[in-house]
Amino acid sequence: MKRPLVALTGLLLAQALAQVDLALSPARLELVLPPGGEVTEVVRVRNGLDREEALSVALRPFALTPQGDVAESDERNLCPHLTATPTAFTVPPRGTAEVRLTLKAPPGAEGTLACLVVFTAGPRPTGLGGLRITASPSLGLAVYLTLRGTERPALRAKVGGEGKALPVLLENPGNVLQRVTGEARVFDGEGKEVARLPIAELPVFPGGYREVALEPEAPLPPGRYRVVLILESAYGRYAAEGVWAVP
Amino acid sequence: MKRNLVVLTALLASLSLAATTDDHTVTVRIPSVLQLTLDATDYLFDFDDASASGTVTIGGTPYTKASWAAYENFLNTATGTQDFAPTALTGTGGADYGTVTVLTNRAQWTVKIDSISGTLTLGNGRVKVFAEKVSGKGASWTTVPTPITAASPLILFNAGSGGQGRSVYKLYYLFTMDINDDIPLAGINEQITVNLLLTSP
Repeated sequence: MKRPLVALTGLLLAQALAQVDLALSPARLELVLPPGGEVTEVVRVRNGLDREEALSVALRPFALTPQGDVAESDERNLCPHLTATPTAFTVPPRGTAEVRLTLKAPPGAEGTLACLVVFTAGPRPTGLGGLRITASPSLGLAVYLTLRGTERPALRAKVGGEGKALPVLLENPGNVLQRVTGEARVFDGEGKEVARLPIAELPVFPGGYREVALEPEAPLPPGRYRVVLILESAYGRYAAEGVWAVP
Repeated sequence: MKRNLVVLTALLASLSLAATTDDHTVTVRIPSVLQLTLDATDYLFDFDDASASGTVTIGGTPYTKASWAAYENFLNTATGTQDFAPTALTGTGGADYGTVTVLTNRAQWTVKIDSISGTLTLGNGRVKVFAEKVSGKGASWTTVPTPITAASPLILFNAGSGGQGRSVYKLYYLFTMDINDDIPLAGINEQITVNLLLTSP
């Protein structure tokens, strides 16, 4: 009995100490509309603390880096066509707030456009004196809109190289976001399959590329392996072949 | 023969009825979620503090906590720079680091310093950050304490794949003092706000 009580006390203490506890749902939006079309989506922000949380909303155009991170970019800017309501609100203690995002697909644009909807909590109150660093937390909702009928999907994959992890390069010369799922099948010199390395929902930004290194669960013995990469996205299936030298 | 046909028709009708009443609708609703929890939001470096003592070990290296005694010793002996650990943190229950928790059912996510508000007299580059993985998914991008101005934005930790579940990271900040600093007569009492952003691409 003593141990559960100790664990419970620990849990309560941990929760009481949290200064920020915010959850965003959905975690991402990917929409398809015909040019000129309009849609409204509801996003929920949940506050896990016993005090209210004031949040503000900002829109920022972005692209994805070769590492898959979100970086500010005007290249395919959806933000002028996205409206968030409200742009400042308070989430009640242990409650949820809803924000409506209205998207209008711009006529004349092509492919996938992107905008990051950033929900930022106000800086926390601090004491006085000394040098202070305060943290202000934000949650970013990546919103992608693809204009139906304007898609020019394309994907180039290169697999193989040298290293303990398998290098994969995915290029997207098309105009739509490619979100690829699949696997790399690894064969030894005798043609026996020795590993399958999965790829799950990897986004490759239109006009961009993505570098990944797929690590096997257990390291493979040194040697040369034949690799077959099979990928699938909403726009089709893609395959590539290469040689992987494991040192 | 006619009776058999009637029986067969009735049987088929009942089967059809049974099939209709057995129809089920299964609704599955799974929201995708991205949750960020922080315990420490206020890191204090007080070089006038009379009570703080000891060191904080970050990445295997001990760093002295900021206090008057530590600063006096620095002024007495230093020839260059020294990185100090915070005097105190608010919200950690005594721990010398902040804890960041990411809870998600998404495979890919990133936590980074998105922006910095305010400017310290000695420069924001004097503040270093170090993220250390405790449990869960992803990996830290800071191999050593790194100036928060080293990149903009500065990625602290991320999961490129398989990031689902609960991931816990310790977050340390350090402040660099330089023996050549000319501190204003009134002293320095300043603060900056570091914006941490969690996203799933």
